Amino acid sequence: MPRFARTVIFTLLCFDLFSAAAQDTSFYAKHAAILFPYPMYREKWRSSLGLTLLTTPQDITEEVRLRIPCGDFRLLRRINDHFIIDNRVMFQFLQNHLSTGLHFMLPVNKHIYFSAGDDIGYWFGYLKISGFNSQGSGWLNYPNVALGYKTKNNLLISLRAQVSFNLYYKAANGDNKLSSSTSYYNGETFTIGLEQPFYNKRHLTLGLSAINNYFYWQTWSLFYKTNRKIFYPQITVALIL
Amino acid sequence: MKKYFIIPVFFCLFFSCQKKYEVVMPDTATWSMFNDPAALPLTPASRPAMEGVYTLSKGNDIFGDQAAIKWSHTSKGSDTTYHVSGFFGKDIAYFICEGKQLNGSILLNGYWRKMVSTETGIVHLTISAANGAALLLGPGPVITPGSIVIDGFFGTGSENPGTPITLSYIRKLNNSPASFQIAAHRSGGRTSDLLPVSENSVAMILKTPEFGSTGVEVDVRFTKDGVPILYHDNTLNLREVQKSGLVGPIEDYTYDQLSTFVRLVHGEKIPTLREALDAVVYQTQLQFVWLDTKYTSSIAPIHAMQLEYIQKAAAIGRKLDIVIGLPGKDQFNQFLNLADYKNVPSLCELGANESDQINAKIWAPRFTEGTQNELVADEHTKGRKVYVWTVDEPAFITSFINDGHFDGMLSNFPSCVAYNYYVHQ
Repeated sequence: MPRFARTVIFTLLCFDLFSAAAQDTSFYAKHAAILFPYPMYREKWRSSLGLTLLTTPQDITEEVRLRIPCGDFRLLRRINDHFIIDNRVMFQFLQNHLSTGLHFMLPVNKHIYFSAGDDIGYWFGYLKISGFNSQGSGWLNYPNVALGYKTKNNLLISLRAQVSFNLYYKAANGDNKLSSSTSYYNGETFTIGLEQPFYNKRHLTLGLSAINNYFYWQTWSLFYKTNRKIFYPQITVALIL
Repeated sequence: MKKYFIIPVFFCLFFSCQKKYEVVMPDTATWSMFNDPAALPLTPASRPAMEGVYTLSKGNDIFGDQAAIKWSHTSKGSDTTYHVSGFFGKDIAYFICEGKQLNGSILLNGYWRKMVSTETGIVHLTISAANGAALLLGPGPVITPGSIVIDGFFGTGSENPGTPITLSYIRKLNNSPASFQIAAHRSGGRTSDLLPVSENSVAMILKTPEFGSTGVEVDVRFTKDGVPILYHDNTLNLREVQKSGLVGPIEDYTYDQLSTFVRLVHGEKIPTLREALDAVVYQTQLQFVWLDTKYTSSIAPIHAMQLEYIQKAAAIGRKLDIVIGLPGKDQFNQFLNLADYKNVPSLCELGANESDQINAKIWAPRFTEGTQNELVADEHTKGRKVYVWTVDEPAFITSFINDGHFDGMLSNFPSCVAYNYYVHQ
């Protein structure tokens, strides 16, 4: 493991020891959160199921605009009071994205929470219908930080900033293949998340993301080569299970 | 709680904003040497003699190690305008310049652009008398490796060129297969490629030879009153046209309405097919036109115009293929209604069997099927050409040209196809 990564983890563990005073374990009884950077004090698992909807820019994708919602399943696994593993599956069947990453959660006070994490993602897609004989896959890395604010009215507001790095890309059309293992900075995503009780003790998550990337995995089949960052708005709606 | 509703409202407003990309073309009319009244046009023989594959010893970090240099021209009446284009192997870069001679040197003045980004700038190039200009401007130039060295500078944006670039001639341009067609999608490129003229416009047809195109694909639709025009999308939208107040299918409007109220994104009128073909035949040296039928009614009116312009081209000694593109079953069935359809030049995007059925001149598989070399060889034995569409990824363009056996390629980046075809050995 690189020295830098060891230093970061050691620092986060030190935070873990000294931040116990800020714990608000009664919070769990009333709230459940997926986007909100709230530690998992009592449960081992926390999950949500929902949909994301992406808007692609018309001047680039023209009439081939993606209008198919993407399934979104998240599964958080507690490690200790301040560390979780965030697992996520986004699925459209013809193209899918899996990610997992370690997240550090830090309650700053009873209202403000902070997290930092690093996820690794793998996407893959197949398109074998009339005129297409394509497949693609790739690896991405997503360092991220989040800041949460719990209101007096139990609304959880979180702001999440994430950058991404393309680590590997592979695509094939019939017998024609290309791959690239050159890693590069891919862009940034800013998300605002709102979470609150919704129905029958269920909690609802609403996420609005501004994705500004060179490459976004849901557009792999368009094979559009550009060094311009493209802006994709995305909405996420999920029920915490 | 209500106060928090403002958060998603702000976010929705944010999402409603569209990021606008723009390429600001630099002003290239500022080189005093080039504007010198003593500067003269180049000799006719010097232009083709200059064409070739060049190696870059300076500027290769920006443009790559090789360039293919090719001249093109367009005419209007008795006026002919010549441009020299340099196609590079990195980032779909190219330069487009005009040429003059001054005091025994050749000057090339223009701009460069990278199609993968919005980068552009001015380029000033010189071939001194000792570096090949004397040879090129002399009688019967015979060019050998190293006999032409192009030196100069390029800049970014409108700044004065200050970064050196040097190109040295190494060999002739590849011309095998000799009839290979570099076909430009939508007459030259899409709106999203941020070109200075609009897709499917006469201006783009006149511009596209500078990108290395030897042919064009255009999208044909009919207005409400039956005028064939060039337009791609199903509806009038801000991707293709400026705000006009007219919305909905273009087929809902007469040509007069469109001509009066609608302008393409760069201000041109939506051209009629007749205007487009007039430009191809009388103003360019393009060899191939692919009429992509974006409608499903009778193909007879398009066929009549196809015959008319094939005859017009032949009458002035032009070699020009005009084919009717059949992208789907509906158009295919309409094509079968033409009398003697087996003798109508067509391009079939369906399977090889359908191409057999109508005796298509060209079979055009989608690039996502791969090179399909065995199938392509089969079609060649039947005397049919095979064009692949629409290939934009540079790595695939390289691979299709190096490993495939296609007779033509449709691309939004004809300059990238031109580079790969001309430097291929």
